[in-house]
Amino acid sequence: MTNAIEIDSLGVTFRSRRGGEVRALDGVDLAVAPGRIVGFLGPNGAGKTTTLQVVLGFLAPTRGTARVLGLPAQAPEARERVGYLPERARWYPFLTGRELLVGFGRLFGLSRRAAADRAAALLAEVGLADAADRRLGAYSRGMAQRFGLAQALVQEPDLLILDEPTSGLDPLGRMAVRAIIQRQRARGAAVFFSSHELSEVERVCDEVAILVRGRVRVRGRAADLARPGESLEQCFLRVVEAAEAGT
Amino acid sequence: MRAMRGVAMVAGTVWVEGFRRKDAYVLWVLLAALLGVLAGVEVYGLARPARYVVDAGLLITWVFSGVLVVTLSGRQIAADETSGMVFALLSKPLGRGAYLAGKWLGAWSMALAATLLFYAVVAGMGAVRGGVSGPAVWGQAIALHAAALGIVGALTLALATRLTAGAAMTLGALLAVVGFALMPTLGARAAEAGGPAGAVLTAAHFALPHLELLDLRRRVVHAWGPSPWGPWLASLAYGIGWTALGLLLAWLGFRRRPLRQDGS
Repeated sequence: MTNAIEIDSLGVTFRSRRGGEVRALDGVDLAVAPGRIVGFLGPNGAGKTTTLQVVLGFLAPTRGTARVLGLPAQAPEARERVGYLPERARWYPFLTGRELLVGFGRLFGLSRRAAADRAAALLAEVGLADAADRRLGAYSRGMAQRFGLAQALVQEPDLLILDEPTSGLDPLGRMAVRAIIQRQRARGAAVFFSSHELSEVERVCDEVAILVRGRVRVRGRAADLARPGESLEQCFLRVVEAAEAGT
Repeated sequence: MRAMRGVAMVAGTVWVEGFRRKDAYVLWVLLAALLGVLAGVEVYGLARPARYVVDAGLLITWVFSGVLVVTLSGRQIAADETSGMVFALLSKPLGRGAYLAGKWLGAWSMALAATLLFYAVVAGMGAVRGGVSGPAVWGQAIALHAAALGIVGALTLALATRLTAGAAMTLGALLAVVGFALMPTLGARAAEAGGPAGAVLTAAHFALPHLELLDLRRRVVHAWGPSPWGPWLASLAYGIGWTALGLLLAWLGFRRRPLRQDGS
């Protein structure tokens, strides 16, 4: 079976403003199987966002390969089947939730009618039916985050990529997001999400991968990665400290 | 077909933004108020200052439409990057070329629509004061004005792919002013200057768009009648060519550029 994400020896190097080179990714290997939820962890500056940008085709790798649903990550066809929730997105404040979702539906080739039906269903699914015709600028942080999930689900993607999906949400909002993610897994979609909220990751993910200084240091089931009596947070700190110390 | 839908979707959001932010309304109301004052004024005791009104009105129309197309096209990319919208849009089946084309189309068509309203007000004021020109020359003037807006919008968008919104708008406005006001005399100035300064001016003469070729205000104001169709079509083709070049530059500047939400 084709992996939803297949990353092999991925390297990305940026040119710094002083003319030097900065290695953002240094040989990342990672695979996400269909129907699995994989949490992508790492301290700030570890390369998580860069990895996501390569997977989404926003950025070309300097070396190595990234394939999405069996296609090169930069292939336009790959984006037909990928849903993405960007971190800290501020949706067009002058559009209503329904208008923007209909617009996104049209990008996937839906007719105006089908896009409107899909928008209504998605807004109901994320609990925003009552706010469908309110401008996005008037949404609270939690509502905007739930809207972000709705727009990532427009075409029922085979791969859902979420950048900090529970950030800024209250406990009820988190529960709602968790339920949505689990529904996506239940219908066979792969979910790949980057987060700093380790308890959330521990609760939702089938597997985790910890990225430090541009490399995946460990990956596997959270229960397997942690030593006896160790929480995911302690495990994370141990891995990061070891990587930083170069051991 | 899918790309066209993407272009239409992006252009549509520019329109909605323009309307809901009331950019065009503000300029139109300003123009109407200004022309209302102008129309009520008697110039040097003349009873029917139609040409004066139309001349002033068309100058204001060029300035306002230029401001509108520069601000609309200059802020689009930076605003989408800062808000993170560009990530949501480009993670969908929407190529960077279609995204840029949609931004340009939205900004240009929005500025053009406002410009048509400005022309309607100016022509209406002129007609009330006695009328100055027939519809053919008005049509020619508007079409070339549209081409000029296309050039300015495309070049500002190209600048915005690499610069901040403020810098892109400033340079876009500067290009428009230079292309409109300085280009007509640049060749002569280059010949006068000679030496390295002359070489620089000559290079600018050929490297920058001549917006004055797209300006038929004098024909409209002085009722000279329509331009011969050959030169008019050549001017239109010149405008379309420069617009295409601006869009090509925008695409080259944006197609592989890393996207950053902090706009750095």
